[in-house]
Amino acid sequence: MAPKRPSDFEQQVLLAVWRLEDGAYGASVRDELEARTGSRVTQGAVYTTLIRLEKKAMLQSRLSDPTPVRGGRAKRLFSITERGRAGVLQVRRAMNRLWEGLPTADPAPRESG
Amino acid sequence: MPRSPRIARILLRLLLPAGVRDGFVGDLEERFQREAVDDPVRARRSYWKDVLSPSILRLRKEVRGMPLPPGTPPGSTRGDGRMTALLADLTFALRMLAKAPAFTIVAVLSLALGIGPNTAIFSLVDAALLQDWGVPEPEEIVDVYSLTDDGQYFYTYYRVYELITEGANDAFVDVAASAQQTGNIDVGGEGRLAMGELVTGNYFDVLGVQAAQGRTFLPEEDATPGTHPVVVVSDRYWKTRLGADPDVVGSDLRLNGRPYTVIGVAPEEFRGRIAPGLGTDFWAPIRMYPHLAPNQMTNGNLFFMGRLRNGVTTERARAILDAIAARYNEESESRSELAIGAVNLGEVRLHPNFDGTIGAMAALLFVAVGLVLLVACVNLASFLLARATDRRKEMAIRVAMGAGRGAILRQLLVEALVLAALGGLVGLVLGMLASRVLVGVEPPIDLPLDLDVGLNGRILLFTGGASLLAALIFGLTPALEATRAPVASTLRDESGSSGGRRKGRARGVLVAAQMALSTVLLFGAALFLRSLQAATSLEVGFDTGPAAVVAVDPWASEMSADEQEIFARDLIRRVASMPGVEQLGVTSRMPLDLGTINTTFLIPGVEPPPNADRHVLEYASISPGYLATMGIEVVEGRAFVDTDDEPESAARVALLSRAAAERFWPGESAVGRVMHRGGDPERAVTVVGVVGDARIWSLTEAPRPYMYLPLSQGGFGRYFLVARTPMAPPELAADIQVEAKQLRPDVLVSEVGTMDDHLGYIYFLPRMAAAMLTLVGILALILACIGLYGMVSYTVARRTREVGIRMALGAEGGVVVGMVVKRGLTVVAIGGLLGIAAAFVLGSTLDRFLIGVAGLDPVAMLLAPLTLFGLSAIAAYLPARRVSRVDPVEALRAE
Repeated sequence: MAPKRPSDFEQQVLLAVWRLEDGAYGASVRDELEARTGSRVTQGAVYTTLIRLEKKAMLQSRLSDPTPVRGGRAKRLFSITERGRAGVLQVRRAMNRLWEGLPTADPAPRESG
Repeated sequence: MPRSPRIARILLRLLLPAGVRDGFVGDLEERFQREAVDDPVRARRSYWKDVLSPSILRLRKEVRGMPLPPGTPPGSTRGDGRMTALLADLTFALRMLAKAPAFTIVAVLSLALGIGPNTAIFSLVDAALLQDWGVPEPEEIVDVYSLTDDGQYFYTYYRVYELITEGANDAFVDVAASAQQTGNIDVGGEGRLAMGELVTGNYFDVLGVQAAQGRTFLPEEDATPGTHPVVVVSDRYWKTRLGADPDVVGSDLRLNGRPYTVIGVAPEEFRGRIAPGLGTDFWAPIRMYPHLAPNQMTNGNLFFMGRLRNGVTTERARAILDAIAARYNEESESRSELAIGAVNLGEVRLHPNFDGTIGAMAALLFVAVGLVLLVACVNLASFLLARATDRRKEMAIRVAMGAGRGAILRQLLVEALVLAALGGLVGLVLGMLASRVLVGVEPPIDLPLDLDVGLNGRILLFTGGASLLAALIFGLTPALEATRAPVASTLRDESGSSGGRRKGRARGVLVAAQMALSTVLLFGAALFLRSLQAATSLEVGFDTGPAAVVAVDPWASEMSADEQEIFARDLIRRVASMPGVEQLGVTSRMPLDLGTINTTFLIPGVEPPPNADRHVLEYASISPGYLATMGIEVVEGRAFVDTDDEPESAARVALLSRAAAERFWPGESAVGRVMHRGGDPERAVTVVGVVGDARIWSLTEAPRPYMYLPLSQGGFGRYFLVARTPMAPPELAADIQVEAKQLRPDVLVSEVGTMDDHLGYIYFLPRMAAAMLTLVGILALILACIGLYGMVSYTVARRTREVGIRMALGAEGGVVVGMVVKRGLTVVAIGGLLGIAAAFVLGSTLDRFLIGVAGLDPVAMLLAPLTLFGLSAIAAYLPARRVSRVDPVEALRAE
């Protein structure tokens, strides 16, 4: 069964985790999202989506060692799974097909790296 | 390192399950630390924004049932269990209530109607009886009065003060004296009566009270008579009448027509020693009495307060004071014996004479409003019982799924507590509003009532306690009942009949209890209404019909005795010829007024009472027209005529009330007899007439011996003008005031009103009591009818099938309705009978509060259950009507 297509915000979160590779956890994902999309999101929204995606097996998580700047608390590190990658790619392909032949007045932000 | 907001962190810990807590809080902390480097305030704000965001609740939901991530240390679920379960109960309870808004609204309003009156009465009692005197260590202060034969505390003499200051040094560090005295303070050209205390120079020191601004009295300010016109004003007077003038200390105000320098303002919490709810406006040195109290016997008008020495008990002080009383009696040549009454201030609420009565009244009101709360609680218990029946299946499923009895009990109690909290909150608002209204109903006497009914910790605590108690009363029974449901049979057959019938009976008992309580309260209301009716129709011995009543107080201005007399005669002549004045009477004292004036006599041939040197009679000085104006009849002899009031014939004649004539010359005529005023044959008066008895002090007193003297006998310092008129009396009263002010702008006109205003004070308590108990009775009745309505509706709903069968078999709709109503009214009848029985027991204890009716008044006994029955019949009929509309086919198919 093909995975259910991720929603807009889920796609954003999946992409942010993918980009961050090994360093994806709540705070860094939030920073990445805010930096790239230019709009503010709440920690709760980010975390809820992370947990939901983990339940959908598009992400997986593990606990890191505690760090002092976090008041001695561990980070919950997330990484994207095969299924997660397939999900965003599938959406992208569909979107690309839809955009074919249309003017790109507002080009998508450039990917770096 | 900056700290993230602690409360927000605690909130997060409560809200988030262990699985995500550490990661989430850590993420927030990290961001906070980064932002706090630039702007700690913004960092805190954004931290809070994240914590309070609704997305947290979505996260909570998302996480539920998720496995913990690998690497979670063992034991990190600590603190999860109980708190989270309670939180879950709370959310569940709120959701259940939100799902049944009609039930919730009725339940919360019922409770609020029960709790509101309790809060209102408590806040009144709190304001009147529970505020302290604003005196440090009040239990070290002992108040000294003289004690009358019948145990009343009364003012005492200056000589006693001298003896105490000489001879009670063992008991007291120091003793101060105070005399209550009104004064005319002129602010901005308008004179008004103010309540004052004339005090010894050490008064504030003995009480341990320091001025909030300026200073209190110096010893030399109380050393010589009439030399130091200085005053200390109360905080309230400063704020309300002196406009909170910041430069008040050192300024002058006109007191009784003379400038007095304000030397200080008392602290807000100290309201003087008259009574906590009756604030003192000003304090002046007692040695200013020649100016401030020229006609009063300040000598016999005092009470003393002493601060006990370390380790001296009130008992010990009492013994020393008794010895002083003995010394006083020894040196006095009077046959009357002085007894001293000493009371510890820590034990005085208002005044030792009234504390008992007022306490009893407060208790009566508390019982009444407590019963209303009980009715409200029973209502809710009955609602919840019905709901419990409806929710049996839910409970059974919970038990089947493994919920313990405790968990279910907790869930139901939390629901009850949530209801109680909501009801308490609405009740608090209602109660505070009600108490504002009650205090707004000022007693119709010119007293500076100073009741502070603002919200305070005690009121919150009381309302919270009442709500908690209510939750336990109405929540426990249904909760216990619910946990008893047999699981298997309930799940198998929803309409389980045996439990249903048992609950039906339980509801019947609850409604009967409500009806009984309501009957008692309605009976109380009926009693006090009857008492009010009796009070207003009581024969008082004078004409209470419409009249203008104006009090003039020349004593409170700078006027010599001659000037006062000239002014009075001028004023009376002018008022008598004013348009609209049909009859005019002048008197130094109105009947049924506060205060007293008396004088002593020796009567040739009539012995004074035992323990007394002379006869004492209360009297009023009156104008010749007074008796006719007041409708007091002359029984024998004649009334005063104009010549009696002329200076050369003054003091020669007197009138006696029938009771006085009867006391001195029983069975004989009093006319022509001679009495020696003050025991002095030079001041002999001849009785020229006997007049009807008028009530002097109270509505219920036995006819009181009373005397009338011509106005020239001391009637020019303060007097009342009573004018009968075809005009509106208030208008005439205002005209009279204008006339007086035209004659002398500086004269104080302290009361401008009507006969109704004047009598308002004597009817005030009966009116208040009747109004409050009626309100309480109506509230109880409404609540009980809601309960009955609910019970009958419920019965109707549960018995649809039975009714359907009956109707299918040919029963008429009316008959079925009658059947349901009958069952409801049977419960009412049982409750009503129980209520009457209780009323029989309680009635006789109410005698002391009633005027003109007995506690076991048969009319009230009948009225209460009749009202109850009438209204309950409606409350039962309305839902019962629905039965006749049952369609038999539908009803039977529904099963």
